[in-house]
Amino acid sequence: MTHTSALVLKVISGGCNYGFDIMERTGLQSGTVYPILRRLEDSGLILARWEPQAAQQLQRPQRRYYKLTRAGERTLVKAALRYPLLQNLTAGEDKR
Amino acid sequence: MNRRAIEPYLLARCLIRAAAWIVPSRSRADWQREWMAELHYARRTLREEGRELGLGSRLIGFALGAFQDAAWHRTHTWSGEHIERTVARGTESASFCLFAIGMILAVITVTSGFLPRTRAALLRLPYTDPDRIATVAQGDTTLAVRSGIRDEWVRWWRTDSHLIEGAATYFWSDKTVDRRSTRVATVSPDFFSLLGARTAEKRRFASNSFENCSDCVVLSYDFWRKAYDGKAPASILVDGTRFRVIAVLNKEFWFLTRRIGVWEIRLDTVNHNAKTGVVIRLRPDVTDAQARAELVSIVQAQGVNPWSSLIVISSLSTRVRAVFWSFALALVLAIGTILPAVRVNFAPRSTGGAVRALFFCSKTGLLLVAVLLAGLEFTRAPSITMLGGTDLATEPFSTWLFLLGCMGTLTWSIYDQRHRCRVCLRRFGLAAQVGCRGCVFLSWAGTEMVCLEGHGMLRVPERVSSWQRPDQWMSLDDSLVELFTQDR
Repeated sequence: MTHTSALVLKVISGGCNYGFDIMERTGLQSGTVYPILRRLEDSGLILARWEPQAAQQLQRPQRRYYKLTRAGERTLVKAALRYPLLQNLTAGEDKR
Repeated sequence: MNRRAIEPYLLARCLIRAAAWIVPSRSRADWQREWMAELHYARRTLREEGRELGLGSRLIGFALGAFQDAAWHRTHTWSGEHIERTVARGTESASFCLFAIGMILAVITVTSGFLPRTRAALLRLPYTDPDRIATVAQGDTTLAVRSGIRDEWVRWWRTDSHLIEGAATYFWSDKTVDRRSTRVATVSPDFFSLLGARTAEKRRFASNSFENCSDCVVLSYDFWRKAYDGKAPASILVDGTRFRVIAVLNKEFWFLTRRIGVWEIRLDTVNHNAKTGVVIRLRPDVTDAQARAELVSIVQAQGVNPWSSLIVISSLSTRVRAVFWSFALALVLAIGTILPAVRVNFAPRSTGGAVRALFFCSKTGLLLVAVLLAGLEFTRAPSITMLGGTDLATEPFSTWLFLLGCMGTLTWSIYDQRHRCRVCLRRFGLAAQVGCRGCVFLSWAGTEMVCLEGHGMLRVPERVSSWQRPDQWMSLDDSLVELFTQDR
């Protein structure tokens, strides 16, 4: 688990649940964030799902939301031990 | 809505659409939907938060990230198995087969230096009226053994013959030229004028070009370029003797072999015992047989016994192209050997029958061309001996080589054609052994192969019997196609 991946996991656990939001919180570029999301999803650490309502109902495009799986939560705990500063980096964001 | 914000937004959407082509087709729609939605929210969020400044560049920057994500999608699916499957599917197609054969032809063309021998054999010989140029050797066609002509015979022919315009002598051997071993031809002064050869400056040799020129040489174009970098030396050292260089031959000029680098001019000093190669120019409308009869009669008139006076006249153009007859003979033999064993199933009315036939003809034709070119360029098949005859060491070998090449080509081509789908011409896959080897009548053992596009399957029996067709093609109906599309 790289530091960047751990950071993305951390912000998802903090409530950021879609790509652009994660970009905003982490300050990472879209070309970095989305491939990380794919990798984490492939590894079973996060789960992606489409907004249940149809786009016509919402009057806007459907979003794809991400949330941590149990494996993702366990991995985040281990990542926090490995990257202690991660807590500080996102602490402010968590409180928001 | 701000017009300045719309344009980058549209550009960003276009970028995402372009990046979507990189994503594998099965996940492309979902991928594009997510990116379009994210772009929409990115624009809305930035505008709501009052971050209008640089909004366009931020949106485009955001969309450019889609290419990285798309590339990840594409490369992520490139597992070893996927690559193997993609390559395997690609190599099964008919177009790949033709492409591969085309590549073989390209490799032969490039490695041979753009087919110099083939061009030499096919193009018009670089002489004036080349069809009237012929070599003369002592011997008989039935013996297939030739020897050189005596110098004095050439002198008699020059003075007494009415059917030839001239006769020039030549012979060659390997010598050291300026510390470089090369083939040096020794020719009579009228050699180049008889052939109608030209210099590199396109100047034609005259019959008196070498008068009083006892120490003159002419260089071949290729030798001049390789040995002297295109700078003509005033003189060269041939086996320790210095010669003056008086001309460089035209780039296209060659005579019997392209390996001759230096042409040494020998002034006519008749040596009764010496034997040389002889090249003659026939008068217009004179046949080889007429010239032969006259030259023999001239020699016999000088008291030479009939058996010793037998000569062979070989037209140079015919001799140069004899290799193609050798190939044609090999091809006919190969067809005669292989075709009787093939049961051709003519189905002219079947759908795609013409396409299959066209594919078979193209594939076989291209491969035969490859065999011919390889034989011409990489063997000594087109080699002609100094006396204009057949090289007894190389010609039988090259004929066998052509024969084996043609047989191999035809065998493979027929085998390949049989193992291709009757509809899409893809090679079959998923070969499976079926049946019980012991149960001869009830369960005939064989191999079943399936078209991976789902068009049908081929059953090839293990042993071909007289009452059973060798191959059985079974078309699959459209209901099964879905099974195969899942595998793509």
